[in-house]
This record gives sequence, C-alpha cells and structure tokens, in this order.
Amino acid sequence: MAVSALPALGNSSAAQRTGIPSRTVGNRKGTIPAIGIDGLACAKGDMDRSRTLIASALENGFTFFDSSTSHIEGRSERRMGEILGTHRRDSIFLQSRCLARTKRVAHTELNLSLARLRTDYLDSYLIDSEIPGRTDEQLEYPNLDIFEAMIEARKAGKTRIIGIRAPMNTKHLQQMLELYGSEVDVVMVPYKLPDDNEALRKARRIGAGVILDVNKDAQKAWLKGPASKSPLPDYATSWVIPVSNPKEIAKLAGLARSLPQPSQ
Amino acid sequence: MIEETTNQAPTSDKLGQLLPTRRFGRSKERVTQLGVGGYHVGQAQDERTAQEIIETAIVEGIRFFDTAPSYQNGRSEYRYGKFLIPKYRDDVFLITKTKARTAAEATAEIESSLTRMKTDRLDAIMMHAMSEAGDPEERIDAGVYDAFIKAKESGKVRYIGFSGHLSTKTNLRTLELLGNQVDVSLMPVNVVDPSDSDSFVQNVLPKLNASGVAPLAMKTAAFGNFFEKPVKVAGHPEAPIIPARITMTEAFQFVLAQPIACWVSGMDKPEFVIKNARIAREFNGLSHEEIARIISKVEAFRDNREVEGYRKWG
Repeated sequence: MAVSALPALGNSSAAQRTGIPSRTVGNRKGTIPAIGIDGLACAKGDMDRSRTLIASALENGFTFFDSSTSHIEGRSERRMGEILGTHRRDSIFLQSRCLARTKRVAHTELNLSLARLRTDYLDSYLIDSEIPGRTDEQLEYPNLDIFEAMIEARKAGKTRIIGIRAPMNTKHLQQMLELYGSEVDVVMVPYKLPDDNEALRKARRIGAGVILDVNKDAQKAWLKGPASKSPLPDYATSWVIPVSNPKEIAKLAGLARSLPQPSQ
Repeated sequence: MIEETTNQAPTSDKLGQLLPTRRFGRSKERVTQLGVGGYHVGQAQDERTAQEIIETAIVEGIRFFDTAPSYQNGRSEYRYGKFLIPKYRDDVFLITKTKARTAAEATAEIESSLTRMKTDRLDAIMMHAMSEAGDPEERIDAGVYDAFIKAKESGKVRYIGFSGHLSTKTNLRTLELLGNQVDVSLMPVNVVDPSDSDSFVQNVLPKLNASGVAPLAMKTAAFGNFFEKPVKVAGHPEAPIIPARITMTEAFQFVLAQPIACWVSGMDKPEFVIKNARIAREFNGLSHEEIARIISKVEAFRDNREVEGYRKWG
C-alpha cells in the first residue's frame, strides 16, 4: 500500500462514488463514511471467509474498516492488511484502536498496527478508555496522559483523526474529554448508550464525531425494519456493524445508501 | 546472566542462592531449572499477587522469566515491567514471543514488548505457537526470522527460537528449516505425553538436544488440567490425574528428569512458586525404571484431548 502523500480524507467524491454518505468529524478535520465494517466479524473463520466478506463489502461500496490490535491477537489487522493491501490506500478508510496502558506503549502499538495493516497511516486511531480482562474479571485503565501519544501520532501524520473508545462505563472517557477537549476528534461508544450520557454530551459539545460501536441486535433490526427508518441518531457520525455473509452485506449497502446525508 | 566458569555452575548470585542451573543449549550460559511462566503472572488475581509471585520466585532462586505480548492483552508484560524489570533486569533471563507473520510486524512487536516491560533488551524471542503445516514456511518466508536476526544484531535480543504446542511435525519442520540458527524452543513436556501417539518428548526433544537447541518445557501439568480436570477413562475413577493417579512431585520430577534446559511453570499464587521451587531444589534425578513407572500410571490418559487440552488450541 504505497503512499506518497496523505490524501484528502473521505472527501465528498467518495460518497458520490460509493453512494454511502460520509459525515464530518472532529472540528472539520475530515469525514468518516456513515457505515463501518467490523473487523472482528471479518476475521473469524478462515482466510477465504475473510476475503469473501471484505471483497463483498468493497463491491457494495463500503470503504470504512474498523479493527483493533486486540482482535484475535492481531489476526483482524493482519488479514485486513493482507486483503486491503492490494487496494488504493486513499480509497479505504482504516480505523484501528489499542488497549495500551501507557503513552509510550500507545506509540509502539500504533507502529504495530501500521505494520500489520501494511500502511504508513491510519485514517482514525482510537485508544480504549477501559481495558477489560480477556480471560477474567480484571479491569484496567490507561494512564490519562496516554492521549498525548494520540496527539503526537496525528501531528506526525501517522493518523488523520484520533479518538477514544469507551464501554458503557464512560467515567474514564469523561475524564479524558475534560483533559483533552477539542483535541479529541471522535469518540466510539456503545450503540445503546443513552443520548443523555454526560460524556456523550461533552463529546458533542466539543464537536467530536460519534461512532456507534457494533451491536448485532440493532443490525438485525435495521435489516428487518422499514428502509426509511435510519438506525442512526441525528448526532451519530457513523456506525460500525458486524457482517456475516455477502447477501447480508448487499442488503445493508442498500439500506446504507438511503441514509440521510446530514447537514455538514 | 549465569555464566559457567571452568565448567563450574554457580550456586548463588548477588540476590542469594540459586536453584540448580542447567546449560542453555549450545551456549556457555546457564539458566535455573525452574522458570516462571508469564501467562499466570498476568492471570494472577491482582497486582499485589503478581508482585508477590515475582518476589517469591527471586527469593526461591528462580532467575528465568517467560512471557508473551498476547497474554491478557499485554497485562503479563506490563506486570514484568512494573515488578520484575526495574529491580532485577540484570539478574534474570527474560524471554518473550511474537505471533507476527511479517518482518515489519515482528520488529514492531518486539519494540512494543520492550516498551511494555521497560527494558531495552530481551534475552530471547520466539515465534509464538507454530501451528499447522505451512505456518513455519509462511512466517520464515515473510521475514519474521530475518527480523529476529536484525534484532539480535542491534543488541535487542540474544537468542532466538520458536514455541509450539499443537503438532510435533510443525515443530520438527521449523527446526528443519532453521537448523542450527535456532537457540531455544518451548514445547509441551508432561508425564502423559510420552504415551501419546504423537509425543513431543519422544519425537521432538531428542532432535532439539542433537541440534544444541535449549529445550524449554511447558504444559507440564497440561495447563492445570492434571490438577483441576476430572477426566473419565475406562477402568479409572473420574478424578483429576493429580492426586488420583500420581503426586504433584512425581509429575514435576518427571519433567525435570528430561533433557530440558528449564521447566517453565505457570504459577498464579506465591505458594505454588514455593512448592515448585522445593521440587526443583530437591530433585536428585530419576532412574529409567522410576520414569517408566510414573509414565505407566497415567498411560490410560494417552491421546486424550480432554487432558491435553492445549492440543486443540488454535
């Protein structure tokens, strides 16, 4: 994925080309396609399945791929790197995120993500505000200064936009937002987080984009419900959805094209 | 680093008495014959327990510490960075692993491990969990081993190797591809394994020894299953192997009786460190007859994927 210069991020021509709307985020640092494809769902099963799903997503106009260093111990990023690596870098919107605890590790984890994704920049890089135990109940939280690594990475051109991903407990998201304010371009929160959540309201006040996290039930409801009904609240920038087969992807693409293009 | 001087194995260092040491493969260096498995340091119930495990290990004379970045999303490596490295970096042998599939990924992941552990050098790095046929070729062709060599040349790592718990064929194929460039290999060694139709102890261990590779023993209680998992086998009551069939001491003496460099044990409580260290300290060899007797007590569990659950892990 050779890149000579950072391209304009997700400009409006992308939306025209794919038919899937894009939305402005982060104090107008760029736009994000309204629907992102969940990298974890794409990485399950064998490589052929991953190829089929990602190829189908691209054919249907989806360009936003979300991943994480922790998804299947890096397999999601690795497969995306291998499969998407043959495509024009500026035709894809790549987001990844890390579960680092310290600022220095956030830097090295970003380099690891870039290596796995076979690129020299991400479109969006997020830090998780809470680190759940994968095999037990232990919870950890990153040092609050970790967001400085994100700011430095954006300055160095390693990512276009930066943000924070939070679980239902938004206490640490709130703390980071208080500290870093408008430096935060985007937050990623659970789909079912209440609209009046304090951290969410703070994020909206500072002009951060809001990406809604994977929710299988909401995805199913969208597929079954009337096409006219948007699953996105008006403040949401994007929604990352799980996909399981090409037929489902084609149907989701039809629905995505009917999403309203919000006022920018 | 524990170095041999005129073939004398040191029995103590500045921190105190060492557990008995063994030669690390073809090198002139020695490692304590019991090592701490990092997965269980990450899995210990809290930070304080993790610190106690590490401190107890040092007091008991252990100077070998294993880990991997994939353990608990890095928690194991962070805990080494917090409790082990700041005090003991110069006194211990530190080994980690990577599941990288390309050179760039391997280089980046080594940096991440170093950063998490707050050190600038590893004693060894291994390709982590070689799996099915084709995996060694894929990783080596994509430059993972070349990246290890570069890390070695730049002083970030001293020894290189691989780990594998799924297939003896894959481990042997990796050894065949890399030959004497391999310094170290982590593989299952336990009392059921020699009875298996595809035994690591029978098929892989002699080849590692012949090549001068330092063999490290893992899954020495089948990831705890010997203690915790009641398994039904015809003619035996449904109970965990330890203590129903053999004692803990027999199980681990069997491991120490093998031609390995280090018994890497997962110990998520300080008391387990003390118990295992005692076995390692008091081990005085086993005769062929004693080894055969212990193996025969658990032979009925051969090729049992419920006991050797690690054989199923992807």
